[in-house]
Amino acid sequence: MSNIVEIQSITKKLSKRPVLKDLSLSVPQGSVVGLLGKNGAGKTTLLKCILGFIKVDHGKILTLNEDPWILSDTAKARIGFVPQSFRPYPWLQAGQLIDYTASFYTHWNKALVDRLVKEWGLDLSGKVSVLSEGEMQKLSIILSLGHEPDFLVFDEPVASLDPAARRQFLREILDIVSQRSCTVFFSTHITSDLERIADTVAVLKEGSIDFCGALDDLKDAVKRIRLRTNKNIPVDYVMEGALSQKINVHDALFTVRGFDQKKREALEKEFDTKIEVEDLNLEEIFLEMNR
Amino acid sequence: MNRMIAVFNIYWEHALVRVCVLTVALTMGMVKIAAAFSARVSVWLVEDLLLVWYLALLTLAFMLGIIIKRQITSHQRQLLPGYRSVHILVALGLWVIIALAVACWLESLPLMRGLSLQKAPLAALAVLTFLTTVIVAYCSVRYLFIFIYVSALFAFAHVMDLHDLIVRFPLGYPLLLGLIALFTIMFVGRLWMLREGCFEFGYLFAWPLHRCQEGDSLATSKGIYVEHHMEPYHLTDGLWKKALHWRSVEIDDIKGFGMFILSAVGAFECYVYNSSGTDGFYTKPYENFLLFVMVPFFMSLCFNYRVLAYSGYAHILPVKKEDVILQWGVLLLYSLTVSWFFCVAVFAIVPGFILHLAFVYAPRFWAYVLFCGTFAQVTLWWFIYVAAVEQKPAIAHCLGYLTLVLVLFLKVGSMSASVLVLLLITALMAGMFFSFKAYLQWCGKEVES
Repeated sequence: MSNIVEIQSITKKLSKRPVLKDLSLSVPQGSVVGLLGKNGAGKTTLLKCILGFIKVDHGKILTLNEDPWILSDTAKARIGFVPQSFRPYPWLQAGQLIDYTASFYTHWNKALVDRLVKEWGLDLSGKVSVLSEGEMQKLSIILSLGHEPDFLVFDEPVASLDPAARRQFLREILDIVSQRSCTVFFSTHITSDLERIADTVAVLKEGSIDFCGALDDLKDAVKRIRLRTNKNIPVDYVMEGALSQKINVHDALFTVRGFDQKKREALEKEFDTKIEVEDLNLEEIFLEMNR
Repeated sequence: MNRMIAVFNIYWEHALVRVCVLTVALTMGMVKIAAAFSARVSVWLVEDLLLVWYLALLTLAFMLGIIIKRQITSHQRQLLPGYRSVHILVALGLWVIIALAVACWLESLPLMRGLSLQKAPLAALAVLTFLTTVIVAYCSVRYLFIFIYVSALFAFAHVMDLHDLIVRFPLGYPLLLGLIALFTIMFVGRLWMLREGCFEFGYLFAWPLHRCQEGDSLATSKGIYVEHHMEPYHLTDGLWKKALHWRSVEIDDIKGFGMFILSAVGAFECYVYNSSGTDGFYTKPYENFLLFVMVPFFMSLCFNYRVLAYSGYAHILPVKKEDVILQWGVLLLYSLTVSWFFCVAVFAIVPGFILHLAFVYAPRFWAYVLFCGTFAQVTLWWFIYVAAVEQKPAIAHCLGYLTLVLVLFLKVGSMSASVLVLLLITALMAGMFFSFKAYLQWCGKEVES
């Protein structure tokens, strides 16, 4: 399977502050990649680099096999993007903005756009200036889907949507991905959404990719270990791969990355007890990874 | 929908653009009708209507610039296929239509021959307004405010000599005009290549929305809030420290534009030096009362709008509100003084010395410019005060102030040095009074971010 995006060792500084550091990542065609990271981790900057809004300082990016800084019109027609905030021409009506955007594409799925407008209850005769943040977000999503792109990029797309619209949006994305070989790359803070639709997770930490792989692999890799023993657990006990640990004489709670059966057996033997291994949800994993 | 029509629609749907286009068209029609009647009546009618036409054209230029700016700041600029070419074509096409309409209109007016109005200078005016459009599209909002105001003042300063204004600069300088046109076209090319990654984006191109989003982090990264938490707060130190700190933030932010201003001022002074005529507005400083009063006032507000926008944050700082308001006062006064000095130096003192004009050696002139500065200060405190009072008293204040300005505008040019000194002292006292009132008013006012 070819890659829609190929990033090799990129670095980017903004106002002399390094935002992306030696970052490498591949986005395979047909995948749904969720980008997770704390505020200021560099998510938006990475998306901007991928789309060619800003230039990287070092390294190389290929988006749809092209340098994003000089994307061809053919490549542009294959990309759909929803930014964090978008309010382009306040004096236009929502319908006029749709017509304007549609005029740039040779292919425009009017039926899809009309259906989404109806389902999301958007008033096309209303001025863009009076749309709420959520309505504007819906309009922005519709504009990004109208030309049925191969590569969808969302920068926190559901931040302003109500729960019903959010669900509808996710369903729509799942439909699009299942019907066509569409690639989705999106950043979000809502981990439950990511669990619902992403097959791959990339965790961005301090400008670098801390983890990139299948969602299930991440869940398998990070576990919470509950240890109860008659022996004294040393306060300075260090478990390999521990993201966090809390030790209280005979009890201990570890969150460990890369925990496997071999490590489990070794730990049980060391403290002569049975340990409990708990699964974590993505939000808990994210919090532990960003402690 | 056709792509060209879709882009044109963006311009046409804007209410102000429609008003400007209609004003230009109506004015052109009325001039033509007036010309068909009496030549004597139509001469003064044409004078006034031309001013309206010029201002409408200027406003149209600003509106187009603002729309172009929106077209470039949108992420669609980078991702819609074929975006650049069609937007450039429509923007240029609009100007070609306007220029052609003006040319046809002039052609149909036999009266114009008697008015020393020729097509070449009007075409030059079209080029200059096109340049205006591009500059507006390029500048950030602060410089835009200044630019709008200075341009309008230039227009009003020449109400009596509109023909001179149109004719003086470009006539006889086809090479200069050609260079301006070339520069404008290059500018247009650059505009459409601009994106966030370009070096001037952060300096010139910043737009309020962009800035507002960055406002908090910018203030934090510059340590503006931190200093209050780190050190014990000393009022006297803090006042100047903060004023100078903000100034350095602003200077940091306008490096690019600063270079442009310096070049523009340099070009202006060269023009003054080379000008053989002595009937320009810089030889009549006493007629430029509004220029020396209102421009510094607006400049100080424009330069500090970001500081004032942080008022909500300042409210939750561990600093007394009274101290914060005092700091803002010092900052505004500082900006006003710098702006006033800039204006009088560029538009009166330097040209006066270059052209060896007598007025710069007269005490009356110095009393006059000092009075303008102090009156600008009264205006600033008055404005700050009125901004905090309730609606009804504010209207009364505005009416009183406008009457005062009108009287001064009409009379101040003919006043003697001693009267000007008396006015200066009165303005100083009025400034102190209003600053105190404004301070008290703001201390008791709810502050919103």
